[in-house]
This record gives sequence, C-alpha cells and structure tokens, in this order.
Amino acid sequence: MKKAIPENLRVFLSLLFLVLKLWIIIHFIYQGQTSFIYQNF
Amino acid sequence: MPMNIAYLSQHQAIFLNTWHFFIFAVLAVSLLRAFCRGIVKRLIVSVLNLYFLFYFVGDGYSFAVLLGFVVLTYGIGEIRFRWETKLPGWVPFLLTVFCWGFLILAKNPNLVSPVNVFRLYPIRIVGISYMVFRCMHYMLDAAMIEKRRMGTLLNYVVFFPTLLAGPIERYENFQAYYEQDKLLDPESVLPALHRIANGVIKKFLIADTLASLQLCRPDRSAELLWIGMFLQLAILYWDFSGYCDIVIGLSRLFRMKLCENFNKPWLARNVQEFWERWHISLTSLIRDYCFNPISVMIVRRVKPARQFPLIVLAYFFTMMLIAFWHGTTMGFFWFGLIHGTMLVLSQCTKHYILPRLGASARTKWMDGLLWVTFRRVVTYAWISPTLLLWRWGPETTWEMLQTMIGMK
Repeated sequence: MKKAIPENLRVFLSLLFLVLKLWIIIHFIYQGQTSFIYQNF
Repeated sequence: MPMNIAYLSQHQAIFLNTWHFFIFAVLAVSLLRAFCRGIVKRLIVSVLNLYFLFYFVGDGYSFAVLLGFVVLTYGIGEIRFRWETKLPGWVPFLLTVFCWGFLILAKNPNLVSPVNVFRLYPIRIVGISYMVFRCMHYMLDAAMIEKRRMGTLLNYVVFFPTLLAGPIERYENFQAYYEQDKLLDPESVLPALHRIANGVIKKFLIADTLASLQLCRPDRSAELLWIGMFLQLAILYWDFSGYCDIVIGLSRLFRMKLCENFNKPWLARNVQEFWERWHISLTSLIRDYCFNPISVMIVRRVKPARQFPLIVLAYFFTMMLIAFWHGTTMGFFWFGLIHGTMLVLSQCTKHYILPRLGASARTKWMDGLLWVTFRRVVTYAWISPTLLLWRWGPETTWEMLQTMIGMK
C-alpha cells in the first residue's frame, strides 16, 4: 500500500513551489524580460 | 484591429497588469473573505461590480444601454416564467435571434448601417459578447428558474472577475454563490494562489513574450512565418487560458468556483474534439441553445433517412455562429467557413468511412498511440493557419501563405 504524504509536508512543498513561481514572476518583471510587463508595472 | 481576441488581449493587458487592478483585487478578496454571507456580501459584490464596470469598462451611455438590456432580460424572464405554457413554441427561437442580432449589430456599427442604431450611438463595453450571452442564457432558461431577482441578474451579468473574457458562468451557479450563502469551495487558498501564479506566468511571461517577437507578420521571411504560424495557437492558448487561470483563482479566493474554460485542447484528435476542449463555456452554451434545438427539430420533423445531411448542416451553421461571436469581419467569416467544412468532413468520416472499417480495425488503428498522435498533430496543424485569418483577414493571409510556400 502506498504511503500518503503527510499533510504538513504537502502544504510546505506547495508553499515552496508557490514562492518559486512568485520569484520567477518578480524576476522577469524586474529584469524587464517581458517588455510588456516592464512597461506597465 | 479585428475583434475579438486581439482586441480583448489589448484590454486585458490594460486591466490585469496594473497596480490599480492588483489593489482592487486584493481589496475585493479581503472584503469577500471577511463578509462571506448575507446582505453585506451582496452589497459588497454589487459595489465592486459597479466600480469595476464604471472605472475599467465603459462610459455612462454604454452602461445605460447595458442596464436597459438587463432590465429587458429580466422582464422577458418574468413573462416566460409566468406564461410559459401559453407562449408559442417559436419564442425561444425569436429570443435567440434577437440576442444574436443585438450582439452582431452592437459589435459592428457599420453593418447594415442605414438601420443600425449603433452607427449613430455606438456602445463601448469590453466583454459585451459575454454579457449578451449571459442575458440570452437567462432569457432562455427563465421558465425553469425559481428565484428570479433583478439585483441578482444584474450582478450575474456584470460579475467583475468574469466580465472581460469569461468564462460564461451559468446563472444557477452564480445564484448559489450570491444568494444562498453557499460556500462552493471553502478550502482553496493555496490552490487558488497557485492557479493565479500559473495564469500570470502563462499570460504575461510566456504568451506576451512570444507575441512580442511578432514572428507572424506579412513582412517576415518564409521560415519565420512557418514558426510563427505554428506558434500562434500555442500563444493564444497561453494567453487566454492564463487569463482564465487568474480569474478562476481570484474567484476561488472569495470562495466561488467558476467553470473551467479549457480541457487540454492540444489533445484534440479532430476539429470537433478541439471545440469541445477549447473555450468550453462558450461552445457548451452555443451547443445548448443553438445546435441542440436545431437537432431536436430535425429528429422530430424529418424522416430518419434524410436526417444526417441536415444534422451536418446544423454543425456547419453552429460553427459559423461561433466564428461570428468572435467577430464580424471577413476573416472570421472565412474562419467559420473553414472550421465548419472541417466539422462536416469529420462527421462524414464518422458516418460513412468508420463503420466500414469494422470494430477490430478501428480499435487497432484508430485508437493506437501512433495514429492518435498523428491525428493530434494534424489537427493542430490544420487549425494553426486558420488563426491567421483572425488577425490579418483573407487577403493578407493568402499573401502570407504564398510567401510560406515560395510562390511569392
């Protein structure tokens, strides 16, 4: 039988992944790699 | 610029990536999480909707026309509910034609200009196609809606997360959230934030970056045009589904679960399946209120032997409606014509060729991984060039195709 991932670990990993996504978004905005966002923000 | 996605995209960009929208969204989520029940919630939703509509969407005159249309919708709904059994059977058909007529004339003021009142008094409301379709859905289903309230209807039509580009939510779902204090998705903060982040990455980082390269322009070389043409569908998917992700995620933050608008369209094995997976809220509405009534009429009134050609025609007609919903230029006309023809061919293959193959051959060949992958690639490749028509119209598209195959 498969062992389920503990709830706390699941939430922690999810938060970590969310922070990574936010870092990617902010990184792109400040680097101006998407000129569109760069101009609008 | 041709309607609707390119036009929409411009406006979405204005709205969704400004600090103003960001602050508005944070305020909306905070208020609706704090006051998620009763009259206070309804009041907050109403104020947010009105603010969003006035500030981001249209002018006073356009808003008055929209309000008039909603009042008319409510009135028609009341008549249909009270006297449904006494009304003639063609009333739903008449209402459908009325909504389509209003939409097409409002979106294209120069169409039948001598009689088109919108030529003199044009209305400028982003997302009008979505609002008119919500009204049409209410008018046609009003006979079955028990609790009908003017305020609920108005808030349903102009509900701010879905105002600009859908998804086109059904009235019952909105009513459950707005009136019945039903928490549709109570445990959803983290998934909702993921959904919003995914949407921002898809729309602003991937789609806009690729679109800014402008690979698919008439002055590009043949090689770039080929790459650009095949990228178009992917860009449109990332753009539109990214927008939907942001909207669905935002709605989940204040505990409302909106319907999904995409279901992995790249897995479609033919054009019919593509439209079942792409912009689902629109295609399901057109299927329910246009295709299904026509099909039922054909089945009831025509002999079985003659039904198939008429059903195929109904597919074609539905596809033309989907094209005209997006825009009324010649580009959209040709888009509908080509997709309609592909739908007809797909139905003819199902009706005439597949039954002759036999069950074992169908299982062996049609459902095999290699064949399925081939069909998916071909479907994607067939649909990609038709998107050029949206942006560039038939003449320029033809010139671009000539450049691509070295005829120019």
